[in-house]
Amino acid sequence: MNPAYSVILFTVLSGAGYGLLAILGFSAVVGLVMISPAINLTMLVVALVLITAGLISSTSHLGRPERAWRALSQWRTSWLSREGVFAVITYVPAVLLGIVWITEISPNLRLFTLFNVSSYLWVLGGAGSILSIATVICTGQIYATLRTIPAWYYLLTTPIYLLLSVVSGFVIWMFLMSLFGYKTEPTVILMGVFLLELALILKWVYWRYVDRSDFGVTKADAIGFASLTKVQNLEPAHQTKNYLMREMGYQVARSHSVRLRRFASWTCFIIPGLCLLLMLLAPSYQLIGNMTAVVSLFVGLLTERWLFFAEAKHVVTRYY
Amino acid sequence: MTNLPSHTEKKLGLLIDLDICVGCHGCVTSCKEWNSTDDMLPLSDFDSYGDNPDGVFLNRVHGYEIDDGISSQTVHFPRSCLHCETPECVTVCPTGASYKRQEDGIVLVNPDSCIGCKLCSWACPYGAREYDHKQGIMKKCTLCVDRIYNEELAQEERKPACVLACPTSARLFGDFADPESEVSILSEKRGGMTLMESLDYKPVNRYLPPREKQSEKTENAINTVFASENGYVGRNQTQANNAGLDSFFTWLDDKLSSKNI
Repeated sequence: MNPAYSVILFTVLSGAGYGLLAILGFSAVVGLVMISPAINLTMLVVALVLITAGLISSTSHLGRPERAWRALSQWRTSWLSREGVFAVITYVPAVLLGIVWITEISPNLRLFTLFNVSSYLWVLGGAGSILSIATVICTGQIYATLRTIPAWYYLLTTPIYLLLSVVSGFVIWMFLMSLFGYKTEPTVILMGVFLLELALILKWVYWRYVDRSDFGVTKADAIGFASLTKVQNLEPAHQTKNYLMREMGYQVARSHSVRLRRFASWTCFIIPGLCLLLMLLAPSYQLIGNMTAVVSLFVGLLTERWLFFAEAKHVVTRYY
Repeated sequence: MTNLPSHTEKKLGLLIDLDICVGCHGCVTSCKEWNSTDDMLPLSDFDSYGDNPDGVFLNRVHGYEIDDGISSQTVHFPRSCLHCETPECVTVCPTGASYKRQEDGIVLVNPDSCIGCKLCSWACPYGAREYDHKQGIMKKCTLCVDRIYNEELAQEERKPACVLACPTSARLFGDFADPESEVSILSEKRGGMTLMESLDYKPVNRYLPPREKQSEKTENAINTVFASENGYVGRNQTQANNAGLDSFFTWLDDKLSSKNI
């Protein structure tokens, strides 16, 4: 499949944003980081900027972006539509959370106190968390339900999307915490390392699956003949590449994909994991370690997502 | 609505005879012509006369060589929308621009509400949908819905453009839900084939397989007659016990069936 940059950016940025929002919401529920409303508000803004940047990027993939609102209508059957619906609804608790924290910072802003939602902080946090996770699950399901693409039609596709979203949100959350001078608890750091390496293992399992996956459909099946009939291309249907070949027939050389997988394994999972361990051993390097983890993670995520598309083969290529 | 109808009153579709398709691409060009004129939005083209021509087509003809282990032959294979009974191109559509009609089963795209997200083309295993870069929307075979019900046209012209254009009548149009229709009867009689059946999209269109080659059959029959007239069978008794009997039945079969041709 053609790795469209707009979709790669969307899934990586919005994924991280929703992950951060999910953690922020969760911490509001359990009352973990009621450190300062200013920090909470900053994190919320970062999450919303990431989410919004990703969503805007995704609309540039559309032929008619001005009609994007129509995509909210078919949630009964379409995962893409469900994703859109959840993405929009998620803004409601997120913005209300922001209002609560702004009110806490400057109680003089009477306008906001009218809402009096402070006492429902846990409801807002919980809703933000659940809706963020629901949005990412929908993103995964768009791919995981396409029977035409065996590399995506797989049990782990959605869990990996979700885990990577939470992991990237978690690493950004830790980074922002250390940016504001808070020392991260060792258990929290170890939790981050655990999630990163769990994601690495799942990704390895996924790549093994991709190498073994098969269309289950032969060239003969594609044109209706008995499965074992030998079918060879004789005359092409058209002389230059068409939309199908560009969009669905994208091929990445095996040697390149092996190298890129190794690169993604290091940058996305191993280096950030090592950085977090370094933070544990040398707390004075917490900020620099965490920053390196964030940068490395995003380089890795972009590579991982590019591979997710480039390595996926579409069954329509059987005709070509 | 992207909810699929539980059943459709008709199942309009095409029956394509791979035995007589000569791969002239007449259906391709007539489809392009009809769907680029009239009231429809044209199927866009780029660099038509340059080095890298590109454009939207709703129908493509591939040429394959097939080999079943006994003989090999050339097959011209026209590929277009199969108007599936359970088309996932419709259910994945986020806007409802894609829909399957309850009355006749035709799968269509509403050009006014399509956002050009291309997800339908990802969901289609048959490559039936192409993206129109100029208009930013998806295009697909409409089964010439603007012809088949068009009262401005003479009755015999109310067929898809590709069907009318085919010089060898390799394309037939009809209702597969009606067991008495020409397409249903022919498909039943000659073993109409479905594409990628295992994916379970339940395509409506059927393809008729190439007939057994007449030349091979005739050749065998002539050899058999020649051999028996010269007493060849008798002289080589050991081989002939089985081979002779087989070739006799081939000859007999051919004699009996040739009367019906």
